[in-house]
Amino acid sequence: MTETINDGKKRAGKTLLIMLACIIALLIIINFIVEGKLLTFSNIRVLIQSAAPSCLVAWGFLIVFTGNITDLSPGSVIIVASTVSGLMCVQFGLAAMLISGILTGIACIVFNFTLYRVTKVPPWIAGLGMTMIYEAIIGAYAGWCTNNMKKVVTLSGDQRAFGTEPGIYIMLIIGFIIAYILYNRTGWGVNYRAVGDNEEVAKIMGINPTKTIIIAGVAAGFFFGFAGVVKEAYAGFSNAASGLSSLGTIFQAMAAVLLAMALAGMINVVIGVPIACFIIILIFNILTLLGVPSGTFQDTILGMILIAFAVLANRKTKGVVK
Amino acid sequence: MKKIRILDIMPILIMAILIVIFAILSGGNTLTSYNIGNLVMQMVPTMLGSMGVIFVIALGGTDISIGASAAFCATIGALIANTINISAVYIPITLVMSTAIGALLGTIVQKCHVGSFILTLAVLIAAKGMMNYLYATVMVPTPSGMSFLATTSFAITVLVIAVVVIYFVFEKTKFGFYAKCIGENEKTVRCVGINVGKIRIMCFAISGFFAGVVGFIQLARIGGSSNSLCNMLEMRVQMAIFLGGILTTGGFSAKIYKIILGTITISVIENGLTVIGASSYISEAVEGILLVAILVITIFSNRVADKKAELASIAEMEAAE
Amino acid sequence: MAANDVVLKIKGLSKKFGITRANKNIDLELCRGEIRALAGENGSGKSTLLSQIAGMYGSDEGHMYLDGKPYKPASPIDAQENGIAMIVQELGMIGNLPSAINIFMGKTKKFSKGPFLNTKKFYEQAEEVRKKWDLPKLNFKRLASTMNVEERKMMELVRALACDPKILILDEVTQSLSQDNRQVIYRIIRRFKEEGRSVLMISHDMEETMRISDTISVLRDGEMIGTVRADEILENDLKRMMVGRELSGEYYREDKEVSRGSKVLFAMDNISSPTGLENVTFQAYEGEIIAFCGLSDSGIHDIGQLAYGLMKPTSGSVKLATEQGEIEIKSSMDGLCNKMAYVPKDRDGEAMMMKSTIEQNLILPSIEELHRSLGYLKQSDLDRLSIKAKEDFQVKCTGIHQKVNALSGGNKQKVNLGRWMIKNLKVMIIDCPTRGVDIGVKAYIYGCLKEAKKQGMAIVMITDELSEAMGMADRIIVMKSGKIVKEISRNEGFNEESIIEVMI
Repeated sequence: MTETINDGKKRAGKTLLIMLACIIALLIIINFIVEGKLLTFSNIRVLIQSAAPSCLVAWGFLIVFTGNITDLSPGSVIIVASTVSGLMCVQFGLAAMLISGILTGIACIVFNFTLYRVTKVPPWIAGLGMTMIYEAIIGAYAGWCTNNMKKVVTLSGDQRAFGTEPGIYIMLIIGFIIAYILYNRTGWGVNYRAVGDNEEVAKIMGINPTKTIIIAGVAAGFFFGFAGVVKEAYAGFSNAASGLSSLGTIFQAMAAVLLAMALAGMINVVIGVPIACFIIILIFNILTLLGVPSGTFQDTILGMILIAFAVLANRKTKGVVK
Repeated sequence: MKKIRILDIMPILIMAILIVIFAILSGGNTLTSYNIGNLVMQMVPTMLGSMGVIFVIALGGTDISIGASAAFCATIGALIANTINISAVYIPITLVMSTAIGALLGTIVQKCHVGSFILTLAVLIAAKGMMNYLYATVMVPTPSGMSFLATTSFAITVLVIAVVVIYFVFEKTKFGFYAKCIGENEKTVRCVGINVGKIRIMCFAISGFFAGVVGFIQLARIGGSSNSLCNMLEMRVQMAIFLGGILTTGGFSAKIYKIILGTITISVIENGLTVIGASSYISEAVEGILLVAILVITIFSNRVADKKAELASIAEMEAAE
Repeated sequence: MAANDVVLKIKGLSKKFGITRANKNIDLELCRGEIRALAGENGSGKSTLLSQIAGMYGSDEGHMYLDGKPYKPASPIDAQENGIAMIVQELGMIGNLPSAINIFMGKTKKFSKGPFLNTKKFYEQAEEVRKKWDLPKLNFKRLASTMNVEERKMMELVRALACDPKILILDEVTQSLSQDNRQVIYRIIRRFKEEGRSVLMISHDMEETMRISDTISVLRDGEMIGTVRADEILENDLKRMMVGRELSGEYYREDKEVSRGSKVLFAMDNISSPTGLENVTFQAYEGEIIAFCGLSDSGIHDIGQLAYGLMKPTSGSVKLATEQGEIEIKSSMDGLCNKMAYVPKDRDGEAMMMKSTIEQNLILPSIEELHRSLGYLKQSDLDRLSIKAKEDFQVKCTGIHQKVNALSGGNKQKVNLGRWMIKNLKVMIIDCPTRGVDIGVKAYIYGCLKEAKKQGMAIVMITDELSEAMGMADRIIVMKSGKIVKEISRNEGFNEESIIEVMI
């Protein structure tokens, strides 16, 4: 038995190696086509930095999806967290920025999860309702700012420490360590994966599903809040969203999680997430370098990538899908 | 005698209360004949759209790609009609494209086990991207001779025909019955021997077809393609369906009259908010809160009703023993 | 035995599920070092009683005492902490976690420092338990979903033994195990006895029950009939205690001869399936009842899916005789439209729409015949059919618009069968027709099957109950690991032991 598993692992490792080799070969060819603009040190650095916020978002989504919860409100939660953290940064400095952003994220997501759990409203539709509410809150604030001739929040210089080199790398590493430990090395992580896999059995095995899921709200909220902080610091400003446009901001992260889940047999999902994020950012970078305009065809391709990864991630799923 | 449950009349009640509230808030401005005409025209796309989406909702799934799909297909239809200079192909191309997109989505849900929500959301983003591209690169006016599509009488005629036909198909035919059964328990329908895949694909195709209908009417009414064409149509349709008291799990809770009620309700809300001059974010907040609240109330009152029915029958059985 | 030897004492335990009383006023005393078997027919309340002891279900009435102290387990984990561990019949596990984590799931506090887990310790501890009880080798790092039934049972055993139980509860553990692993279970039971621990067990294998246990408690219809010493009772006497009334003659067939027509109505030809069926071939004749028997992993339940076109075979063909001649069943619509029916095993989950009305459930299989042009369904047609079905099959309800989930199990089963029986059927595949119904409804269902047989219907009955197969069938086909291993005709006379022998 043990041999076959090791063989299986070896085979998976081999597939991974072959895939990596193919990707690298492809990259070199594309690099050639775009006249060497892709694989420059500074371009890669820029790519990693722009992948960092969506990577944090993706870890949050990994937690959300593990529990079989299709909640799309995080896009708006991140905007709320960004704005709050930006304001706190201007007022009280960096520490306040970090704490307030994270707390905002946690508060919003825990509220959502409690709502779904208590009322049994399906998260996908209730999540849309919550998205509208969160968008409206920030929209109201932004409206007030405009009326008073103020900019929403802008950060500059040292205030952007979390989003510029080297801070953003540190944030990324901290996020990774926390995600990895939470998911693989804590009692909650194990319990939560059990609840997401089969709630009834998990209950018989002595796990309290409601408590586990609410804690999941804290964990996911932490990542969304954290992502909000990094995003604010990275961009230096945050835009209000309306009419569910915040949904569009989380698509890259969702695609990354689905890709990581599709690769779960070969590589731990928590490690898969940053790789997937980087691959997706890379694809868009290539598209930009090839002259595909962003906001138009890039969105189309993003939608198609999402469908492709969703098909991949669900290829083993059996039973009823709505 | 069937008892009237609070659940059944709740949508009517909510609608009536909302009409009164907005009439008071606006000082009667919502009840002018001009505004009521406006209100009716606002209802047309939402109601037409929900006539298609109801089939997917009955299955227990959802289709939120219709807005983007409507805009995209109508734009392509008009573009081709203008290019080859034959206006008559405008409507057929739009409908064929949108129906094909719907059927494709149904096939992916059936064969690849991707949830319909995520799938149609991805299509929404993809189609929006194409729309932005088209908007930036080409001008697409309404094909010549098609301006009659923009008239109120045309829209109302199409709506009435659609409601009558869909009422028949959804409530009175085997196809509608099977679709609702799939929402109740897909495994049952499969085990009885019915081809679930075919029905699912057809349901999505109908949803796509009506997206096309909304698309060609709305494009004509704006006078050409725009990147805001049919924006938020999918959300209005979702709101209409759930405000009408239909459960998210679909099945036999899906009824045509509920959609009509729901559409009127959501239109009254949107129109009322505009008339009293609420800002866009207040409108969004009100809609979001209403959506969540209505869902909670619908699910909760259904649970209570189920529990009551169960207890009653247990008592009855015990009495019989 | 002295009174202080009693480890578990149960007084007046009762349990209700909705309107069915699973257990009525059960008394039981279990001593240290005692191996106690529970015997009784399906639905006699054995599993419910064990589940109550193991903390899976609460109790409506009555008390339990463990070592003289009141014992009221809130959950299976609570029961394990009190030293009572159970291995259930149909186990659940978390497929995407390694088996070692499954073993200690819910008890992970032992392995954590603060919130952090020491995953290494999982594997060490699991291995320690395995070695202590001398169990066969297991790879604890494998995902539970990749393990086969036997490995999962062994994993469950490790999970149960990990809490060092005073009382081990085994609910039909051996039936899905090979000889080697059965010996492992027997060894553990003997060791429990030597160490003064107790075992409570259920086994469908009578011979096994009598051989392993010290004492046997018999349950019938949720009531405790009595407890006997295993070495003092004969197998036949025990059976009489289990069945009680002389019921067998009444509701099963009384004739001992095959009675069937000569025309083949349905045939499976050399069918192999992706789920592991190999070269299954049989013909069903007019007016014949064929029973398929086998253990849960023998593949008998796949027969129904394959026969009705719900599962595509990897090779072979399924043939159905119709008025227009023989056709091959390629999809389920072929069966539905040609007087064939399939009734799945899982009534509440698969066969019925639980939240819909009786009418909606009753008309579902007849829609293809009821509809008029354009697929139009006339309400009066639907009402007529469902009222007729409701009355023909004596469904106890307030009306056809009542919801199905408010009906009792027996009435649900009547709706489930009735909706097919009112169609003019030729072939019926029925999976576990009397699962979860009481004796009265059972007799009624057998009556329906007998009537259908008289009308010339070919019935393929897939069943987990041997007595039912022997009582009703013209032919019993026994399956083992996906293959037909034996075919016995009613003329030869059915014999329980010989069937079980080939099944295992």
